Amino acid sequence: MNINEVHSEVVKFFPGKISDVITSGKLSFFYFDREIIYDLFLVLRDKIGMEFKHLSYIASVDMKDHFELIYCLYSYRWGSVIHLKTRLNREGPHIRTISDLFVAAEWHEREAYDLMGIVFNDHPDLRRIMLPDDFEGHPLRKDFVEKDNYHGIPTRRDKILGRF
Amino acid sequence: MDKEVDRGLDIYYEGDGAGFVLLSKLSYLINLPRANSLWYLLFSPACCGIELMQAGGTRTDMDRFGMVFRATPRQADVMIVGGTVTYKMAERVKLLYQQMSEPKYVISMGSCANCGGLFDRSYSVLKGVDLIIPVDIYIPGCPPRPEALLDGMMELQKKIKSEDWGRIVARHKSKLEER
Repeated sequence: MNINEVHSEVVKFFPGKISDVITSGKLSFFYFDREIIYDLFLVLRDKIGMEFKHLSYIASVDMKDHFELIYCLYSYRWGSVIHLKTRLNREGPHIRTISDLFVAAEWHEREAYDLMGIVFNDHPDLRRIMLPDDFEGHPLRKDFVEKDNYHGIPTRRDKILGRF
Repeated sequence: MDKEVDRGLDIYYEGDGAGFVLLSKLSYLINLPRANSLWYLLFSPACCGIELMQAGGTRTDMDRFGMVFRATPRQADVMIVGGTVTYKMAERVKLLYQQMSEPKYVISMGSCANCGGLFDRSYSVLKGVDLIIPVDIYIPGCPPRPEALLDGMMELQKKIKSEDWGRIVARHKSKLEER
């Protein structure tokens, strides 16, 4: 079941909320509105004939004027992979969590929150996952500026051989 | 006579070998067991730890030089910082160093611990472990081979053997008095 077949199925459920299939290089995907995320993923997971039961990853991209989330789903039944994208506002990016549909999403969403600052509504435990809890800012954003020191430890070493 | 004593240990037999005189420096006698029982802390923040394990294994076998690992900082003499230290880990490294008893030594193992290495421009990696704790020996490499680590440990042995024990005690005493 490839992306075109999936698209022709789900577009019946959500008319006007889903873009056409876009092919960029080797990757084919379509955009969806962020309001329908829960219903869309419920259909993709549970509708007989779809059965994309495995969430491979969630990636977040900083496109400078907006953020993009990329969801990658895998179907054990069809052995096929599909990619779905959605756009979020630059200011205050937020989207509903899908961790109640895919348990794997919980940590992926925490990672996206940690490094890119995207807020997932209704997430059970939205904390930083890798960086220290008191870290300021979200480092994978394009406009992130590193602080001079962290708890008094300098973050730069101007001369590599300076202290040897 | 003095020159011979500087070498370390000298034994002079008297008469037919029934008794002997042993001449040495006190520093030498104290430093000899210290240098030959370097217990290192079983700790490594990243992938250089794999080489550290290998150095303790049968092929390189650091045990034969009296270097065995201890699982608690309170019993360890040497801390081998093997690998990338993140800011989150840096505070733990500092805590472990403070828990070790004097005299204590630190070996910085690999490029990451020396200066940040590959992660020089990273937002979360410490640019060299010497920014938080004093380092005695730096070992370059990514990762250093077990032989290189062993060489570093033997350099540390040389350093310990050249130390003046009296001065260490005096320095430590003055530190205690400051408190």
